[in-house]
Amino acid sequence: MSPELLSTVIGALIVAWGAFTAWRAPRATSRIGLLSGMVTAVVFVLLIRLITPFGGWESWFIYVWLTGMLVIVVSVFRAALVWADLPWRSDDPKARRNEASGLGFSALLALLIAGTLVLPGLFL
Amino acid sequence: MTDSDLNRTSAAAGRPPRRVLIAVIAATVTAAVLAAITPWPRGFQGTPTGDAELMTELGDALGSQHWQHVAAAHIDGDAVTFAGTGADEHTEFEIGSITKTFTAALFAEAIDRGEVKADTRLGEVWPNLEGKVAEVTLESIAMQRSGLPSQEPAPSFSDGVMSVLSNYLHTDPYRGDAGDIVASLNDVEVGEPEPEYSNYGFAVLGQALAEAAGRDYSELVRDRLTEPLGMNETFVPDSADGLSHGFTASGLPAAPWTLGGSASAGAIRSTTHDLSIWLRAVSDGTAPGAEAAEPRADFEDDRIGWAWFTTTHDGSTITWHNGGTGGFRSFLGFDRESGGGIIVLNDSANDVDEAATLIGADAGADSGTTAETETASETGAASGNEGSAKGVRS
Repeated sequence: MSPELLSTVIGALIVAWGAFTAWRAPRATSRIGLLSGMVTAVVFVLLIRLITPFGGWESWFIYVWLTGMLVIVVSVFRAALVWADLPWRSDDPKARRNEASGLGFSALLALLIAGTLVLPGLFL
Repeated sequence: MTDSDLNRTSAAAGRPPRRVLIAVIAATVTAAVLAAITPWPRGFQGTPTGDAELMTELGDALGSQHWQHVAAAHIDGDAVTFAGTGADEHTEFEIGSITKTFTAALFAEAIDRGEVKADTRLGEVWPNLEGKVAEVTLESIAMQRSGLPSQEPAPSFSDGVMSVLSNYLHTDPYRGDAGDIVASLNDVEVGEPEPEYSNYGFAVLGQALAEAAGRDYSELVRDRLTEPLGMNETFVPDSADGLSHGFTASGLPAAPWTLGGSASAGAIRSTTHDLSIWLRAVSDGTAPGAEAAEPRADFEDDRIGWAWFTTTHDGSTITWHNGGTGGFRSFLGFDRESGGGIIVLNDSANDVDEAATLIGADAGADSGTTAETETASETGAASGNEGSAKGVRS
């Protein structure tokens, strides 16, 4: 397997992981948990956007990407439906700690990658 | 699925219309944002220039990618046809590893001048060198079989970290200057002298030629190659200030590469106008150091001269090199028998090697839009050819 193909396969797996994370997010027991799942998905999406060549319509990766994005859109729809029924924080103290730290970590990563996407171009 | 999931799902089915509307709006906004950040495959961007037929054939050959701008030149004997989109024959691009063909020509020229010999060893250029590296010959470097590593060793730990990060920040990963390249030879591990593409090798070759001539690499390129050929739009940049930038394959801005002390491996900037002069002069043997293009040894499935690759396919022999930097890809190839050739420069990191199929084609031959007659070259039967993509990067 060539390095380029290996890189693309890993990129596709990360897209799939991101989509799966988003798909599971509406099952969270709190809004913070739901947001944590969604922001983690955003991290994966931004990371792939940063480092992976998408190729043309003849390449298979663009279809993996578009499928992943479709899953995320449906997940957002489902998340918006259940949002009002969820408490902000989980009842379980351990889960409360985990969901808060998870959201903070994911948000930090998302900011970092988004900055890497945008900032270098501003200096050119 | 848990009980709570079932309860939530059934509850969702009976949501009030207002909540469903909000969910639809959220999904629509998300879809719009994701669509906006998707680097959709598309054609070249901007106003078409030059020969429309050539541009159409080029677009067909290269297929869909997230393209930006492109300039191309098709050579058919004495006739040169230019085309482009968002760029023309005078638009400047980074040519990446096509630079190595200039370095190889300087090597051949230095031999003619008696400054070096083909079998000059690095230990003769820099007498302080010891061990295996001192025995590496300049010709083995020029033929990509020196055993030197493929990439320049990082001058320091922090430079190594920055070099890795540059892949994500889309900046020039080459950190060392000319002194660092020479100093790195003291610590470098030399492998077996087998065919292996090495940017570091050509960085060393450029510095060796500069040392032998007592001048820096950019001066050698200007005084011995570009000025004699009238290539006024071709140069080795000494800094990134004021240089245009390219884009990654997915459309993010990528900083210009000047490559520091590795300039001889891939830093030259040029235009299709100038490279058409270069291609014809190398093809017909009138360029200084044109003998560098003569194939001398096997290289994987191809043959290699000094830098130049030669691929035989369906009875046609294409002499070629491609190039790539953080934000540019390029291809230059010609068929000595047919007198055909193609040059493609683009400012995105999407490969253009497929343009080799246009060598020998009748692309734009009848239009004569920007045809020039400057040097005579052999003509012969035109045939479709296919250069192999090496996937090399400078």
